[in-house]
Amino acid sequence: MKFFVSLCMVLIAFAGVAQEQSQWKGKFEQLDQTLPTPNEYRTGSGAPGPKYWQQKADYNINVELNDDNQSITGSETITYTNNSPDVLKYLWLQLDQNLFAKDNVAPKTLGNSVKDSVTTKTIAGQLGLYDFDGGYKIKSVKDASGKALPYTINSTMMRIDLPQALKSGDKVSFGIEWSYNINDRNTIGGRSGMEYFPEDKNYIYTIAQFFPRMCVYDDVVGWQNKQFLGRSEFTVPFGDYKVRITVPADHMVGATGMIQNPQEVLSKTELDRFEQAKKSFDKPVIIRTQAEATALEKTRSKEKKTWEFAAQNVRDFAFASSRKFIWDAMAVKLPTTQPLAMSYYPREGNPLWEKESTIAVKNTLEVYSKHTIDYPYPQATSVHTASIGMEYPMICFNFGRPNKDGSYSDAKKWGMIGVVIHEVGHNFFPMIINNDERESTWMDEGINSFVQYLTERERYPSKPPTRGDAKYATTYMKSDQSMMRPLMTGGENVVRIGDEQYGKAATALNVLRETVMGPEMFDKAFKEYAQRWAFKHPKPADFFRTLEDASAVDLDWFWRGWFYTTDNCDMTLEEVKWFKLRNSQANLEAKNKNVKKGDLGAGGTKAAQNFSNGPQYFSVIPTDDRLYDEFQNKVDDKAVISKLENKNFYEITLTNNGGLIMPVVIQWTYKDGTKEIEKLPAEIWRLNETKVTKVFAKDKEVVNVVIDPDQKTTDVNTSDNVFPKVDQPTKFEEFKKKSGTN
Amino acid sequence: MKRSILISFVLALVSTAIFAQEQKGWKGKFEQLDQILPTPNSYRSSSGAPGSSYWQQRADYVINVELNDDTQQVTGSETITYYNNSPETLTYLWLQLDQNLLESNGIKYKTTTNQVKDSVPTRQFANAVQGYDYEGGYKIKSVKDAASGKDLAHTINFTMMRIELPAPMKTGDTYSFSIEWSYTEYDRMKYDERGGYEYFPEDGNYLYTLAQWYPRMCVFDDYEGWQNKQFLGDGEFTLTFGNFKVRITVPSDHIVGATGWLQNPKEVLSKQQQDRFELARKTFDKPVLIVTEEEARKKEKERSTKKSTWEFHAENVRDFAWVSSRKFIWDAMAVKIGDKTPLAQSLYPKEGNPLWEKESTKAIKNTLEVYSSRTFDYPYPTAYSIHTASIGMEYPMICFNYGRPKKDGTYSQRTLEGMVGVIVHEVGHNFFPMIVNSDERQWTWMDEGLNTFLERETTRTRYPTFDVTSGSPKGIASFMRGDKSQMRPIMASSDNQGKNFGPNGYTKPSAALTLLRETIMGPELFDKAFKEYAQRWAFKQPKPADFFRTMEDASATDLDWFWRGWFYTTDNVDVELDEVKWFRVKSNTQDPENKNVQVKKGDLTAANGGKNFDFSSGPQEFTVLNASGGKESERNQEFRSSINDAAIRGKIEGKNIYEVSLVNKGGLISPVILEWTYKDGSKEIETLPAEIWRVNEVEVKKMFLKDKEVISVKVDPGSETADVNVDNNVFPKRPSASKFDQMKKGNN
Repeated sequence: MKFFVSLCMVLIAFAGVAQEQSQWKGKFEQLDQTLPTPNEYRTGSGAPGPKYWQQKADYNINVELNDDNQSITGSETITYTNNSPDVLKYLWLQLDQNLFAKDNVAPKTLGNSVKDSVTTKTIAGQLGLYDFDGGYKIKSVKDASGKALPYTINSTMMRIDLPQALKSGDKVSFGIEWSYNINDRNTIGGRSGMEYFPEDKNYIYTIAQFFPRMCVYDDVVGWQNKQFLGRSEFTVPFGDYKVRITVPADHMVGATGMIQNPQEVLSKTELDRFEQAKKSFDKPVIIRTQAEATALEKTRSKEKKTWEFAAQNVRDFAFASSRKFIWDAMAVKLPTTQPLAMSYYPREGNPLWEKESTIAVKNTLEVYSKHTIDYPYPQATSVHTASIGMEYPMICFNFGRPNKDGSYSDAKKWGMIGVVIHEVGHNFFPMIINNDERESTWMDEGINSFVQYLTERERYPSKPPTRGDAKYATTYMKSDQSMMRPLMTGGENVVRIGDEQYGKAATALNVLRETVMGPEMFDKAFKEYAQRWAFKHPKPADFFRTLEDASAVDLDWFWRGWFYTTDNCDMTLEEVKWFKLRNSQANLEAKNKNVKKGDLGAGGTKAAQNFSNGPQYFSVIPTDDRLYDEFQNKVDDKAVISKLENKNFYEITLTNNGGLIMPVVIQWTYKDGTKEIEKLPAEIWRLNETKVTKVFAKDKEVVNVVIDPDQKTTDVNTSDNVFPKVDQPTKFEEFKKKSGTN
Repeated sequence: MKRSILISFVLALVSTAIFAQEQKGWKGKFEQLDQILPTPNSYRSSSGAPGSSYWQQRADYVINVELNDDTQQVTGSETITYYNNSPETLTYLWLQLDQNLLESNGIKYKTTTNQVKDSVPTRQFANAVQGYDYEGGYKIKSVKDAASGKDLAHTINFTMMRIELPAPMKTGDTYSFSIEWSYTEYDRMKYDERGGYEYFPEDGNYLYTLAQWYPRMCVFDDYEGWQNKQFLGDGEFTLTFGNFKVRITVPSDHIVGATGWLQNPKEVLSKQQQDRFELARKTFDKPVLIVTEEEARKKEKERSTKKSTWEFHAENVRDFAWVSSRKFIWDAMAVKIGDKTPLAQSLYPKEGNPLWEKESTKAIKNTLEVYSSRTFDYPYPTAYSIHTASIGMEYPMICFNYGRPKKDGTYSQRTLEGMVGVIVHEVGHNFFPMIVNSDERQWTWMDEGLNTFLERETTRTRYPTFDVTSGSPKGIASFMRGDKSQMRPIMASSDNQGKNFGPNGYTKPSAALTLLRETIMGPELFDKAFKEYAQRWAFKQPKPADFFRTMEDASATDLDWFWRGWFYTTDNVDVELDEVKWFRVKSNTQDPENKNVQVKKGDLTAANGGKNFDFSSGPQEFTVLNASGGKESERNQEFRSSINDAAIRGKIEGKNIYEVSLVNKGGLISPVILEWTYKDGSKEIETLPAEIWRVNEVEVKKMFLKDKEVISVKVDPGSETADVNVDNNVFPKRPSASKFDQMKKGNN
């Protein structure tokens, strides 16, 4: 007891003094007020609190797609439930289409400069040269009785002032009518829009953010009405959807949710195949074949059909429509659910898509469910359209198009499989574990890229590792710091969003799993997070806290370093000193011939470069009586000394040059060729954050020591991780090699 | 309680700073304020509104007070009924003894620094060394339990008094106790404080302005616990709402004005005065005189030995002040505000005329009208403006204002604008902080800044000929250009502002709000959001985060970057127009067919070498390639449709492309307003939102396509952004004096 008390006091005193030292940066201190104070809404454990609440928005939408002028016309009734304890005088909705309105400010907030030899496409985007009349035309906003409601539009946000304040627990219904022109994704860009196929003059429509959607109102930011500037994505509440989609009768439609009226829109053959697919667990069943779809490419039906979809507890709704679509589907068996995996693609996607897409959906649902929760929705759809990867609940739009002759490279295949896993994976993050994308990109993109990595390693082991892999990340981690932003930076403000919010975050979690916590502890804690926050709105602190809470691993140092700084890991194995005990006899008998203090150090002023000088000898002497203090029993000096007599002692000195704290992985190679891996937890750095020295006793003689031999720690410079030190070729030698002048 | 809040505030700042400082140039200026603001909870919601469990305390006062005109002594007794609406149990109460500011060896004297200077005026020096024979401070005669009359244990810590409760006060409990006290009023000519008296040697009369004259409850709230931070003189008052019944005994030839409504006019006013008063209540076009100058002059010679007791009642006010003098002229008129008709009243000695009879009551009316339109309908029954020398000080429904003509009755335009300005300002304080009841002890800007902004709005709209530079972005530029080592952020505490008190409390926040309204949000969104704040927090106690959050929540404008820069730093706006480059696209015929004759990378810069200082070298040419010829990534080439290269070329060929380089030298993020002047003399204004700086906070470049040729470009042509250095806002660059000098020197 006394020991602990005095240790604490020493630490505190140390901290007090150390704060003034430039070397010590408190890297192991708790995050404290860097995180929000826990309260009854969000607990200190990282779980939703006893008074956690979230709003609900139910939608009833009628929408028509006009294939002749590529426009959308819609009307909706939104029923908004105020589950917050607050009284709401106004509601905020997102008008995402206004990003493409002529007068939108977003282009004015983008810097650019004149560069030579840019393409027409690039400069047209930069200077806004396309003639496109985008943005919502709001026709009406009315209350349930049909009375017009006052509203104000601020760019991509619309405020509706309620005639009567909405009390806690109350609901309000209101209707909106609107229309907009659909953007050509090849010119205007965008997450949704249309793709045109000049050969057969058909369109693929991938329609999203197509209706005025409720903003999130929550306990942390109030109304999340931060403007949509084009990059930071969406923050949307959960609700139930009923959507009727009217399209040309020869179109095929895929959407969020389940089709409610298949008899009205599918042929008898298609209905039969669809039923068959629901029972096919081994491979996809093609419901509309390539031949059928190709035949439809030439029809131009003037008829219309209305497809009705329903979806429960989703945060958004999207759909795809085209007469070009081939459709396949299969069932996936999960422990508690049995969703459908489906794909829609034009013949331009084949033969890649019929082979890989639905299987990739299945693999995704299986691996993600294992790491989080059983996929709770009835289906997951992957749609092919050019040059995009974009996610919505139960449906996503993915790239990966073979050459015109149907051939494709390995890179194309892996790219396509990667994007399908990624976008289908988004069903879990953020569609179900519904974080605030407008603010924290890494919470869905980073976490999702990490689970994508796990899925690829498990199901596609021959796919070259990308984001999530520690070694893969070092290229980024060692790059120019001035362009880096910490992960805890708003998505709109970062420079390298892919390398950071996706890649670095995925790597951080992978390193946490494999090297810091170990898969068992990590997987348990990660699953806990997913289960706690499924169908809720987590914030970064909820993730940080849950991972610690469920695993008993203090990770504040890890979050601090990986999420709040741009430090990298760069350890240097400065030196390994080899020691042996002096002959015990010489020692025990000749107490007075002890080595003088400093003798060892005097042996070599220069750090050893290798083991060639052999071991240095040092003395272990019997413990003096005075050192026993009050103890009356004594150490058996002889026994201790004889036990250590023939051992090799290695004193390792490590420095941390990158600033990022990481565990130390040491590989010992012995003279007999055997190897041993030893891991020191990150806490080895807690007293001295830049330099540590530690002694190891080894029976066998060591010939080689390597730090992080398998590159699991993202060490950005591994050339200094080895002892004996490998001579770096001098510049002259390199020059000689290159020019070959011997 | 207080300390832990301070520490967490500092830590939050530090933690942001830690990660921000490591990036060269990048300081996270567009990051959300996150933990720099308190975590929202059920008391204060994330939207900036009072939360579902919001609570505040209440204190009701019944006071009897007598003013002795011979000794200037104030003697009073009060019964305070305190309501514990908090979820906590209280074992003691804190009261404010503001008069102790002037007790000898008080905390203000002890914490004021000064030094000996030669030839220092007596009025200054006497104050520095307690050189006047004045015995200030409260004499507390008794503190008693109201029910039993038993003495209550109490401890006085300078300007604060703690009373031990005989039994703990639980949630929902009320408790009544009584205090008897006295103190001597001070001569405000000697002590530059907020109450006191003004003495007129000519007629030997006094004009009393009584403020902080009774022991007042401190605020106990969810944010700070007891707000018992000592009164040091600068950081004003933090007070609880309640109802007041006050009986004021004065010489019977005095006229009294006070917070609240006179209850016994029949006892203290003549029949004629009562009639005139009733007439005033129905007169909306001009003030009605209740006591004329002639009548007041006559009274100056009286010295009534009789006493009268004036009884005033006020509901839901946070304080009570009053004035008394036989010198007062009195006029009043009714003001129509929605369905209310508050009475605008002025009391002034003859020394204020002819200025006061003309302007004071009218200024009250203008204030109530404009402020009500921007916040909520003025809810109190009256608003007084009192004239006494060299002060502007606000209390609920009553304020004391300067603005005195010369002895011959003439006055300058400056006196007029000053007098109207101070009345608008002090009457305006009825809204901030008397109703939207912020913590003045901690944050001066929350009442003074918001109020200065609305004062300027009132002056701008109702007195269009007046100078309104003060409180505008243009007006604050010189302060923000100043020595940073002496500067404090607006968010620094009231008593720590020192020389920054005026700018940081008043004009800088006013300039910030003006910039927000006129340039960043636009009047419609700003006014809506500002009104929302006022309505949410009327008769409540807001904190800075409640203001910041409400302004964003109600408008869908992310302003965290704005609060961060303007309120938490001393950065200034200095946008430099570093360079404007002029380009044209190489003509069609040369290029698209000749894909192989691509210009090498770097050609453009190589052609011209150094920087442009004007447009004299003409446009540079650059190449645009067909989309199919470009190197789009494989992923982006999946589209089977193609770009109409010819159409795009058609839109830029022959036109002018200007690449503007901007540098943020002051650190404060600002929208960029560009004025283009074309060769034909026409001009065009273009505004880039502040978010242009969100990725690179120091340097941005942007291209602009213009049909016409540009001859000059200017940043912030209308001085809207508080840019502290406009010399670097122009292109072509004017040769700076030093360069010109150097050239001359070289020639010699």
